[in-house]
Amino acid sequence: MIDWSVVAKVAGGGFGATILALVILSLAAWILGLIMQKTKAKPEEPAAKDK
Amino acid sequence: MFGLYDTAFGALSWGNILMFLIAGLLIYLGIAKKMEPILLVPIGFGILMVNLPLGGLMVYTPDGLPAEVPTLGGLIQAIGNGEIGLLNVLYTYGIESGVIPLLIFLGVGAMTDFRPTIARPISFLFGATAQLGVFVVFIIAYCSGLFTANEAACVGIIGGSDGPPTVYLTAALAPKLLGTITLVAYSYMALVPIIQPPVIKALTSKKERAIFMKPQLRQVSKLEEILFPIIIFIVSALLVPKSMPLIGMFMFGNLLRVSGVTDRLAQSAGGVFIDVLTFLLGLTVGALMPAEVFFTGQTLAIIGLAVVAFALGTAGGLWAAKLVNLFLKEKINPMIGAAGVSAVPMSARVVQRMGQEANPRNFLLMHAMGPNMAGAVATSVVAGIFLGMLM
Repeated sequence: MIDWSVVAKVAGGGFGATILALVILSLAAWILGLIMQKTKAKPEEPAAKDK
Repeated sequence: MFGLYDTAFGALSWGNILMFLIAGLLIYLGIAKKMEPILLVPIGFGILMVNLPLGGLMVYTPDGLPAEVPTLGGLIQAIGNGEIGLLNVLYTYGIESGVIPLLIFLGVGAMTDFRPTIARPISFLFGATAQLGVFVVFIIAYCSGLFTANEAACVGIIGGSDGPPTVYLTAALAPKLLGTITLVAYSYMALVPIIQPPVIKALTSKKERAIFMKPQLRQVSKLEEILFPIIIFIVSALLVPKSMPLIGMFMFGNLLRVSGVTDRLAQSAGGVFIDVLTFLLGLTVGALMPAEVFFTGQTLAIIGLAVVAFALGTAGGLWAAKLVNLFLKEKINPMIGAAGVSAVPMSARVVQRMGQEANPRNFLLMHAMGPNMAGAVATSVVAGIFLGMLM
């Protein structure tokens, strides 16, 4: 006997939750990269001006 | 023998003999064809051990489950009495408890370079969509009536093509299928170079496969490398708490690698440590396949469904990369999405080879490694989601 609510919950909900979780991880990694690139770029500016 | 003791010949069944052939095939593929040798050779030998009757290295209950190991006090006596064998102990304390797969994942983390994933965070999306095969196969397996929901989830996760999460999940949800699922998962991982190319070719045009990507990814700073495993661990543990053991070990191993001050620990974790755990895992998993447990309709179904899971996972990653291309000015080669099925580093190598076939200027390996690593994280997340929903 197939319990369709289990199918919907595990397959539908599970795949949706996976996509959502990985999109959030992707955003976290992107924000980390953005902050790192900005903080890295800042000290280089005065050095360029010095020249 | 001469009435002095029992030989094992009389206890041999046709099933045992068939299992010897399977064991021989695995050992042959591992040694002669070099297909996943560090796993197929111990698994093959484990199958031999458990199918030679009366040895008692792994004792089974009439239900086909490994005999229960008593508490530490009664352990030695139980082994002495033949109620359990050495491999029962390894199974209970190493695999059923989740210790061995988790520690193997620590070692994998210590060998993993996340820079391609950090440089292109959208890789996580390809890792997520490549889990399509896991969920579709869950539906097929469950609706076939051959598997319970718990078992179907474990069959599906083969499509994530990542060993430790597959073993961890199956030990928790469907221990009776652990031997078969682990064997099929690792065997198909070795077959990725055969399974993926036809799917990729069917779903992409030659023009798409030839899309050129600059070989260099952006530079990733040391601080970024150090912060990445910590942040990914915290965020994923908050989002999917049941994935915490897997991702925690994976990211801890990676932190050892990138911290710059724990090189010795990282070398140990990714060296002898993981080797010892791998052969213990292989041997014990092999011993989970006595003939009476292996020769069932479920085994044949798992072998067939795993191909579907791998193919759909490849398709899921590809489709996501094609979708992303609709919004990008500088197009990416959609084949890199196919590497989201993990199977590190085989699927990335497949993409590299096919990319060069379509356009000899292309060097896609590093681009494909990003989704490849993200796929490993995604499979751990899926294992956590299954555990949260079904346990």
